[in-house]
Amino acid sequence: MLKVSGLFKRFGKTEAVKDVSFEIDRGCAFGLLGPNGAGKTTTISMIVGALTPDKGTVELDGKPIGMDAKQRLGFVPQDLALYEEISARSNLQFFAALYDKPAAPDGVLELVGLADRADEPVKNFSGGMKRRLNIAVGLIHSPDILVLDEPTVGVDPQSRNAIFDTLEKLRGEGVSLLYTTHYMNEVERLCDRVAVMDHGVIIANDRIENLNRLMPERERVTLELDPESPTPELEGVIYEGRKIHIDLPEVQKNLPAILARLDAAGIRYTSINSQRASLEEIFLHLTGRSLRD
Amino acid sequence: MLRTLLQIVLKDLRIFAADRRALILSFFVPIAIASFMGTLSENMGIVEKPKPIPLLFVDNDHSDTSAKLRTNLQKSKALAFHETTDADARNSVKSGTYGVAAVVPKGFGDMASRGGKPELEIVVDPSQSLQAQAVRGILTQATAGAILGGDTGEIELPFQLKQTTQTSGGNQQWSGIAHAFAGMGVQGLLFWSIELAMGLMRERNKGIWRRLRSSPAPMSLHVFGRAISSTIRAMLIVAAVFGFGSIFFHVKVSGSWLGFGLVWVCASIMAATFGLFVAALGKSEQQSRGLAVLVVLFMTMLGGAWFPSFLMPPWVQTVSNFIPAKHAVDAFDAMTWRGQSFNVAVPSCAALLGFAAVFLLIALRRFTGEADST
Repeated sequence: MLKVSGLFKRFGKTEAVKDVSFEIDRGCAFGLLGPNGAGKTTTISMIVGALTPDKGTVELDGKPIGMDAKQRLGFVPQDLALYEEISARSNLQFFAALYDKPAAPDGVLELVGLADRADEPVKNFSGGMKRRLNIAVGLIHSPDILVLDEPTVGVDPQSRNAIFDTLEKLRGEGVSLLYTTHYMNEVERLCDRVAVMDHGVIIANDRIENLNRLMPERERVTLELDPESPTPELEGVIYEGRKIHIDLPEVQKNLPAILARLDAAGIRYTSINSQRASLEEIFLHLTGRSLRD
Repeated sequence: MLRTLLQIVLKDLRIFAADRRALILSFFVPIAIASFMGTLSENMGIVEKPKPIPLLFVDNDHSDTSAKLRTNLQKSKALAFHETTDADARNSVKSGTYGVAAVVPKGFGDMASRGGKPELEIVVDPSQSLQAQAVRGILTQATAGAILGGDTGEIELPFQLKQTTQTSGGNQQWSGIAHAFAGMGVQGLLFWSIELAMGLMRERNKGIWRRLRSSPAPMSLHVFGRAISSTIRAMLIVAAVFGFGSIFFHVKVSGSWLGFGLVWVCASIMAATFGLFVAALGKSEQQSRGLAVLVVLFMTMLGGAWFPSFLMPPWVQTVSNFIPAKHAVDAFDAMTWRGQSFNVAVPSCAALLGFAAVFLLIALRRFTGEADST
């Protein structure tokens, strides 16, 4: 549906985006993951037509991002790009007028849970409400694809959940999502596919489960020991209070033997967990630095 | 396209109406300054009954000639005559209590009677040079009378001077109030346009312009819409300023009402596009505000908004032709107290629209171009 090919953008001497390419299928939620300064916002700006690439193309169903394609593309910028002096409804009425076939403002306000505050000036809204209205503006023309640039920055958990409910609902209705963030859990919750970006370059682009394969074939098994149990003395084990962590390749094959040894040594445990590598760890593995660097 | 343009204009007007504090300040500030300046400058021009000029007189001669001179000066309605000692007169002028003193030196009468050219000293406070010039004229006549006028000490001028003023509105007097409302109205408009620019820059910093760029409506439409809505707001401010002046200070449109309307629209367009121009060129809000305030102060000062341009040196009057504020102030002056016809408004309005076109083109180029993108 959306095809990004070989995007380049330079600001002065800085190459902000270097040969960025990816595709987003219809109804797919695509995450663009990277730390601050990775080039996510510049890439997004070129995709939505707010910035002209130095090189490369962006196509929506084979058509370049011109006036027609923009009718089908919604954009939620990272900033609260709203007129704070006027009401939520007036904001939506204004942005609706920029499109050929806008939705009814009241319906969109209902979708983001702001119908009861429609006539209130935006400056009276909480941060979370403004974020939701920011998303509503991006939805006012019922776009086929919604591009969101870190839409949950500075939002309380309750509002974040409300925003995610809205996005999941949209996804269920077949709207494609392009979502940039540096919150791992958001990408894991929402996206089917993730591109990892750093220093203006995409360093990985795959489904989340495939990205996990980039990590060494290990899972971390964590056992919480019974308070009255002796502590085992094992090689390659990480001790953390009454917890022990064991990094194991091929868990299904190797774990039973470990548990049998613990049992024979009289070690009792109250819980056992295993966890695959997180996106945070994948990012660290790929770039050598944390997402928050 | 028209629907979008209308919504852009309506949105701006809603924002203007919603910000009550800014709304009140937009109207109140130019009205307050115009009222103050108008009251100050009300009597700056030609008035029918000027106040007598205070003159200190010192007679160190005590001759018949100096006595006749004293009598002549005391008779003059243009002077408030006070006689004192030499030392007191000099101290009074030095301290600024009096602007001018006439000192008749010892031997003045004697030298005059022998056909010599005695000196009559005029002691002047340098800050009161206009008073000194007026006193010099009166003294010349009074002294000539005292020397040449025989027993009466008076000479009769063989002519009379009659003064009239000439404007299209008949014997129209210079109106400091009308000029103050024109000048301060234009200054208020330009300061308001700086606020307009700052608002635009805040919108840009908030990412609104990026969002607008991502919409199908072209940026040029947004710039035009903003120019229209800003012109409407500027027209409301001008209307409020002159409306207030008309009701409370009797400022009248003595010339063409159609011409006044044309100036009203053109000055508003100029101010609106000036705001867009400042926003287009500005980088940071703080830096742009400081620079724009300086530019507006120069524009209004050199453009005759503070005091009429005819009081300025010739080179300033030449330079001021390149300042839009000058054309706006002159055109408002022409349509109000000068009582000029519609045709007189046209060249000034053409100049204002020319400036507006340049401002708008630069704004369009910057806002639609890449330079603004981040």
